[in-house]
Amino acid sequence: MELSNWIQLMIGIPLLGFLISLAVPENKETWLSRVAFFTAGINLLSTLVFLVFWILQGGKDLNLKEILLFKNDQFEFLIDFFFDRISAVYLVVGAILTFLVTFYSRYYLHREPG
Amino acid sequence: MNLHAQGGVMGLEQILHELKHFLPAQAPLKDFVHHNTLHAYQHLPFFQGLKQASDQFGYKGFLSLTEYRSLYREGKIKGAILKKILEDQFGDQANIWLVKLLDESQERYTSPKIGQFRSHWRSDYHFNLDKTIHPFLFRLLSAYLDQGISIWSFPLEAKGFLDSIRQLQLDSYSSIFTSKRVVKLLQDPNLNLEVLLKILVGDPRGYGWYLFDQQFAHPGWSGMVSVLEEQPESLLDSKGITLKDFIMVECLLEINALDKKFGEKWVPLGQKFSYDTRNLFEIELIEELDLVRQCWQEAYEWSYYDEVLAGIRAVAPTEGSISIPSFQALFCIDDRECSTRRHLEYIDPNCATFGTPGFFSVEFYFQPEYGKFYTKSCPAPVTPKFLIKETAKHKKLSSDVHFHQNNHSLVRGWLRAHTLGFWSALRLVGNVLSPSSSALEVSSFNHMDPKGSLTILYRGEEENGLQVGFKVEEMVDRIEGLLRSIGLVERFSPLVYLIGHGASSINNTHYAGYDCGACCGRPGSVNARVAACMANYPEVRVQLKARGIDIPAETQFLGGLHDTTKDELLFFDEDILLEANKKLHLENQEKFVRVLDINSLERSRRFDTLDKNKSIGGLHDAVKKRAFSLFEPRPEYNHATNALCIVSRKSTLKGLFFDRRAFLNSYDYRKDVDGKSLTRILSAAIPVCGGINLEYYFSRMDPDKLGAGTKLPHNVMGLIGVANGADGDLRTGLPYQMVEIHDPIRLLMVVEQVPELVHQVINSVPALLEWVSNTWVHLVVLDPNSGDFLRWVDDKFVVYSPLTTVEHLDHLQDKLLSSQQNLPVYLIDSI
Repeated sequence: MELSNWIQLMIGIPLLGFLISLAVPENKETWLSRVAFFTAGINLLSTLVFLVFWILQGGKDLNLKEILLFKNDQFEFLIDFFFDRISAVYLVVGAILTFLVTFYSRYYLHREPG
Repeated sequence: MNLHAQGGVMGLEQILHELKHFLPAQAPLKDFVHHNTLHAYQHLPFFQGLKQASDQFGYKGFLSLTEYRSLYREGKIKGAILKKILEDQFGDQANIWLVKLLDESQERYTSPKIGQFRSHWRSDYHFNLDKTIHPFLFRLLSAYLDQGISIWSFPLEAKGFLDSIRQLQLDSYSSIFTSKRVVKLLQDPNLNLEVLLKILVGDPRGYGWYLFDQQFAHPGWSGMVSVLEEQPESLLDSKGITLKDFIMVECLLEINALDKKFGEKWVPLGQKFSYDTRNLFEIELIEELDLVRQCWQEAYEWSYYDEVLAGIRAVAPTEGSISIPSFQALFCIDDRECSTRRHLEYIDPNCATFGTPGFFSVEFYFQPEYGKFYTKSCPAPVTPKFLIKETAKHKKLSSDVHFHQNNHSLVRGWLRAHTLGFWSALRLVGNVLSPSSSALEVSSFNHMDPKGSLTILYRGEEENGLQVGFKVEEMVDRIEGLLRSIGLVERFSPLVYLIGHGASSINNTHYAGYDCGACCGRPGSVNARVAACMANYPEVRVQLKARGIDIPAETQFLGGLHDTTKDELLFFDEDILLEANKKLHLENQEKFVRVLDINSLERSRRFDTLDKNKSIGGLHDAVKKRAFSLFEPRPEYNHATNALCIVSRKSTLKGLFFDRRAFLNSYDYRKDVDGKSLTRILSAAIPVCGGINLEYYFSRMDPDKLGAGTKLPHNVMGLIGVANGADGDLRTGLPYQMVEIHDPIRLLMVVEQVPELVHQVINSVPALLEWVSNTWVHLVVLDPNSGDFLRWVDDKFVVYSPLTTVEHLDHLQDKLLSSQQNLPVYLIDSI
């Protein structure tokens, strides 16, 4: 799979986890926690695997398809999915922290409403 | 409470006295000791007290009707018990009341009286005074009282709160107060509270109500100030403060805020709205809904008590053994030791265990090596005259560079973040994934160096008015008192263990509440070691013999400490043991290891997040990890579910399973014909166990006002209390995580003794009479002659016959992991 496609799919992991969590009743704490744990775990794992492949392929910047929001003669406003070395660091740190928070929240937030 | 009885206007001193009486009496965190949260109402019958507390302060003392009805449907409130209670209360009207309880009665909420007077600032002056004042007031007070958590300390020596503010105003370039009137008032050396109240309230009849409203808008901070005024020694870094000073500063801030908003021409609150302080304390009439709640609560309580009494009745009488037990072990009466003793007696049926308050009758202050201060090591109301000093073998406690205060400063903080920060982050990740012990852990075993020595024998040294060590005769008095109170005066085993208890946790602000209450919220290690050492002194033995307690020369006492969180046990001074006793001790240690494993298994059933599919050793390891998991708000459940205090021989309870809900105090009625031991036992057990029980009761019933709510948003303030966020009021009571599994029922005291003697003992101590006759605890006497249970009702005994029967279990472990809920009373054959 193309790295650019792969990274776009990875955005779907937390989104999918969030949607599944909405379907779990609020009083099923163990299930909610499992959904969160596996979502954050898969997210972290896929991030690490992605990074390995990305580094093996030279660690080049990825500039994904742009979404043009506004354009006139002088100005162009677009959303550009850009991934470089700095993004990589943030991606890994973010994934690790999310996983850790999810991991300890199982105990720390046990029986907390909300 | 005599406000109502007085005619005319109350004096300010009297109002302040009553305020202190009603404010929460919770000491700083390090001295946290459980007490009756509604101590101010203890002179009233329990249910009348709840009524007053509800109408005056809005405190909830009952579950909701929906919860009671749900407990009834689940069978936790038994139909037969409810029927009996209604019949006793209403006679032939019982069925009408049953319908009211089950169906007709509806919940009704009324606004409490407190807060009504001052609410006019908001509703009629359109000014939220509390929102303007509180954040600043709390920051000011917390900086003043700070015990070492702040980066910048209070700039003046803390000799008085008002004087410090006055000095601060004089010395500062900027001004705390903006109103010229307030600045002038502050500088007046004759400033008094009455002047301020005249400006704020105007009408002297309303002064008391206004001050109650004002102080109960932040009962946590006001209660702390009141406690510190009464017990200034609670703060290691001494701070002079009085409630009156604190109130005056608050009144000045209020006038300042009102002047700023309206100028100096505003009408005092009491001149617009008339409130008479005496009305705040009127005795409220009990209504139908109150009776409905009372009946539900009584039925809830007796549904469990009835099982307990049925269990005691079902115990087969045993002939007292004449052989010497393999060993004897004295534990604290603490409910957490209830299961430890049970397991020990099943693993070694020839041993004998006893329960006694965990300070083992030796009261003293303890000064650890490298410790600047003395810590009390006996029940909080006792004032010791003795000091025990430690000479430790270890070096000064190591500190952890990752948790240094300099981390918060600009330059050094930046440097540390860029050097140690990375490793700190890695360590944190490691600790989250695999919790392990760290410098942050409060470990019961660190309270005293087990290899160090203690100054137990008095050698003529005095220090700060305290005698360093005990004289031989003083030791004899204490050891005799200890042994006689539990009836251990003969048939001594070669080894007698004195096992104190403590707890370990991390990231836990209420850590002192987890240790031994009889040792003033400290681990009982020093007391166990000191008492054992005293009992081993040859001179003490000689004098004990002269007093009728002949301890054989080969009998040795050995101190120890049980960590109730990790379920670990450490013995002290093992090297003094005789060769024969060393061998016995080694055998016993193996038994203790098994006991602790099974105990952790029994405890693990309550831990919802713990995976139960493990071996018994694996479960024990998982239980241990809770003590040093940064993210675990429930290292253990402490006294949660406590409901009983039984003062009896162990044989009276043989084979009964109380699910760790009982304080067990050993007592042999046959060896206490004059009731002296019973007086001593009940004088400690009723207030201590009753206080623990009621703190759990009220924190569970009203987690928001009488409890501390969830502990997750708690911030430590000045190292003395916790508050939600940075500007909130101090939270008193217990966090929800400590009480969530607690069934809120009052304590049932069961005493095995002839009723006439118990009646005499209770009546001889006014404080005990208040507890019992006002039913803040229930009292049932087990008459050893007739075998009858006699319940204390309206100052006399009434025979009580249990309605239920208890189930007989062959093997307890079959049931243990089946449920996280409270288990019924069982009669068990084996663990």
